[in-house]
Amino acid sequence: MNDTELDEMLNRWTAPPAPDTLRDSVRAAFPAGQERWILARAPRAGKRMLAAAMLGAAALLLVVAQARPGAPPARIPYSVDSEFIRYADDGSPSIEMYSSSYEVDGAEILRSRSIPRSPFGTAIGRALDATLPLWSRLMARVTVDGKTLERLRRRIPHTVGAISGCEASCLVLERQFFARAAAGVDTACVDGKIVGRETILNYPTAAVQPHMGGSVRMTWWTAPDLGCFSLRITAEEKRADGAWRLVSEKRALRIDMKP
Amino acid sequence: MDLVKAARGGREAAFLQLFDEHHLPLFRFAYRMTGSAADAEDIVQECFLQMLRPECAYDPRRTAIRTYLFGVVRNQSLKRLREGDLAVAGGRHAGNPAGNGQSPEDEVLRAELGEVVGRAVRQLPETQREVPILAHYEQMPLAEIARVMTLDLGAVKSRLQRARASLKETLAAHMPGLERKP
Repeated sequence: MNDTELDEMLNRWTAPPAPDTLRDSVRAAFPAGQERWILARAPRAGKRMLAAAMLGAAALLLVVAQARPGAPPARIPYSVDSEFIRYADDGSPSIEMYSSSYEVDGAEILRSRSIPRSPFGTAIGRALDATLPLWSRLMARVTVDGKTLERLRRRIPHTVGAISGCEASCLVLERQFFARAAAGVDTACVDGKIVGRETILNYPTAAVQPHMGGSVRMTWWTAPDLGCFSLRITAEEKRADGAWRLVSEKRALRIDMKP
Repeated sequence: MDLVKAARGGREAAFLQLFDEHHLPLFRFAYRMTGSAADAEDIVQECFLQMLRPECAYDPRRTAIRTYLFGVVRNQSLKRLREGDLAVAGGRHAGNPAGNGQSPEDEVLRAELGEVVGRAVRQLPETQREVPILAHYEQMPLAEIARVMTLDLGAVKSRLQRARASLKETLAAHMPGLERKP
């Protein structure tokens, strides 16, 4: 076989066209790309560099808090009690946090939280929950220009957010934001691949895997009847053998319609 | 205006212009490296988002954006291949459209041949695989391939030579015409 014949042979192998959805996915990730990256990998980052993660998460929260203005609603519509579970490498679970929260305009609002067997951690965590948004607002004024903030504000209605867990010491919350599913498209709240449907605590949910890429996979069970509150969230990471390992889970325990 | 700087500054139009200019060859490269259209999609998305991150070390004064993006896709593809979850030996996606005006037999033959070629390329040793993909399919100059792979030019030439020799050997038995001989 000569060089020309080899080139002709190689030409027989064509690549498929890039899917039309790719541009939309990249575009949807653009405004929140940096924030999402930090949060999506927060479990590992938190272990490796707690201080950096705290700082990054705090700055992020501040920007988001700044971009989501407004006082809490006069009447809290409902309240969901959730537990957050961390799974060790051998699969053994441990509860790292309990929370009570609700959803407004696609953002999960925390009412209270506690860290089991750690009254000190609970106190510190609550203090940080109260002060980080304030600090974040101050920082946002210094670090984020007005145009960027305005652009974030415009994007907010197109996102759905949730508290997905907390970093290693559980002092700082992890929040995730994903693009909202297009109106009228099925009943999913988050844009992504619908992998199942399930009724959780009497509320129908769609299980969606937002497009994340890499070796991290999240599944959100969102309830449209609860303003897209995520009644369950799982985070998995890909092992060396290609199998997915459950790393953490958020699970709704109780829904109170008259909090 | 520098598109990368504008994209990092929050200008979506600049970001999308960069995407439109570069995503097709990057997708093809990722697909040919991994053999999976779904993984190629993930890799390309990750590649563009990586450019926006604060810790991204890209310096437009030292590297062309195309070279940088190909480097990111290369690293992501190799990472996934090393994780061992990709079908290296065969593609998961039929990427060979049927030819116009050909008989069904020719179309099948063409598709099969495409798969054979794809398999042969992906079965090359990791150190050889990228060079023929970039040189032949993306028509990338060898000097630029050297920058993408952070190798010297001589090493790239040597790898290309070895890869082509290996492909000739593997594909010789599948040359059109040979398979129809009695």
